[in-house]
Amino acid sequence: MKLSTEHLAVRLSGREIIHDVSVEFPEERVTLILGGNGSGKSTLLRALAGILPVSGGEVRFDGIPLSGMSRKEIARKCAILLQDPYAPPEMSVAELAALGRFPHGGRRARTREAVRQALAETGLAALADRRIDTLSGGERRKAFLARALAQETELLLLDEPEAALDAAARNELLLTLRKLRRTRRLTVVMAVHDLDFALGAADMVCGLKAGAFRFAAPPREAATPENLRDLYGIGSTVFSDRHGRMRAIPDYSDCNS
Amino acid sequence: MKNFPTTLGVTTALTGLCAVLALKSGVVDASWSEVWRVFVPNDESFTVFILRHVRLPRILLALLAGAALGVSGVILQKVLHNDLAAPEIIGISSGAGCAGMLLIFFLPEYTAMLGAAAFAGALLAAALVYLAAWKRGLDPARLVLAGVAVSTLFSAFTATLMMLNAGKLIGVFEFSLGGVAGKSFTEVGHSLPFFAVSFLGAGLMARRLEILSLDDSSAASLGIRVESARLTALALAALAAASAVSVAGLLGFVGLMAPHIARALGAVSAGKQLPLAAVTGALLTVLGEWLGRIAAAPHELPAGVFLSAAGAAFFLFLLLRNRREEG
Repeated sequence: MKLSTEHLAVRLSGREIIHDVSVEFPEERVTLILGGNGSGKSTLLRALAGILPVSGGEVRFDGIPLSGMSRKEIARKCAILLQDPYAPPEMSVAELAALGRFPHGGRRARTREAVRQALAETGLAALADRRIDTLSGGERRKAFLARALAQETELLLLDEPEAALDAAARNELLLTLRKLRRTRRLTVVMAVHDLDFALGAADMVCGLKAGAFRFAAPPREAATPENLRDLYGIGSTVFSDRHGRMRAIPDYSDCNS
Repeated sequence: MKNFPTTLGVTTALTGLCAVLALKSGVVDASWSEVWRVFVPNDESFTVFILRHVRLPRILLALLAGAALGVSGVILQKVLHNDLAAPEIIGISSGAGCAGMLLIFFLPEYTAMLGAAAFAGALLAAALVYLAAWKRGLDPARLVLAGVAVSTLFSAFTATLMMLNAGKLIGVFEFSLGGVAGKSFTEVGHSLPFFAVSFLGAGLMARRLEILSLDDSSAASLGIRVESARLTALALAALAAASAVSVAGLLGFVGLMAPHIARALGAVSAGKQLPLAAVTGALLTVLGEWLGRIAAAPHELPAGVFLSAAGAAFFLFLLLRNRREEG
């Protein structure tokens, strides 16, 4: 599905957080949104998902403005995995995933099948009956991802999915996302905190600073030390690893100089 | 119990059994044959008359009021993301009771409107709590504090009303303690539409309640209008609690205990928790009503006395358990 914005602006508590963002995200590809704390990444993602009202411009799904769609219609096309989502602690993983079927309504058999598939794809089939509060951080993140997948949307937005996960859990999440993008032909837009995370898997990288895009280009053009310094205020080392994937490591020594 | 239909069936059967025992025993003990004859038309022997016209409406109202408080508690706990949210704790019952008492004191000829008045009071209390607790979202701790404050405010107003109308206190004392003594089929008839709307509304909202139990952004991303859905749910919780208060006065803690017991029995989703909490609430209240009649016979104690005692112990248990889990 084609996701695009036209002169998008978002105001929160009287302050404009996102200004004049116009972009077309590549269809069935992974786009990374980079930016420092407070740059507006989460606000932008929420506006793209239609859960924050926009103060100017438009978000479009396949060219259709969100303002002309019902909430349920939007939810059938776009799922979002938030940074720190809440669910009642006693809810089971399968029950949480089943909530993703709400926008579709309909038959129980279809719900069961969608939930089964979402749990299988996130590797949580064996934990279906486990309570959310008994899961590890990584499992919990995947349980919410399963809920998003059960929505069976063509567009998946992820807000810092790597936050608070250890290296192994991040790697596992990345592998799952890669596979999902391929098998489900998803258009993925992911805001990340760690600039190295997922850079190698991205098809487009956007840099957000103070609510405006500084660049939006394929990774090799976008993730340059100059652009990253512009976003984060410190230098970084950008290189290709032994698999030929792009990596970017912040130069923390800059902070001590 | 893992199997929900079995759990619901056993709890319902237990509630039915308690209701029948409550019908059978009291100051006048009836035989099984007399209990049976309550449902046989044209049998107007003395004991059957008492059972049919004195005990049966009370038991029916106890069942309905308990079920409504259970439903109200589930809705509040789901929507407000707080295990301690219950109509008796966050001021909804106090608001309903205060409005009910205003009607009893100043417009006694309109007591058929008790349900509507209680609903208005409950809505006002819910709105006050919501406004006081809201600050870019509902914080669970702030919500309970606001609820306690609103509850205390209404209780103080109710106490003042009672002091200023000491001559009209007959019947009001029981209302403030919670109980169904002296109720007839007239009250059953008046309150039935309120109960029916709140039960039906809660049933229709079950899936939305489940979505509302998530954080607001997740709920919105699943296709619901969070604020309007939450306000509808709160209005339903207020209606259910008000229906209960209008017929049974201020029954303590049923709205807190019933949802927790339902959850402990394995009903987590709103679709399961609503019916099980309704049945559990009905069971608790009918037990309270029955105990009230037999514990100090021939004197009678209001059902609310037993429910408040059980509820207070339950409340402390929850607080201690939370402290243990957090610490």
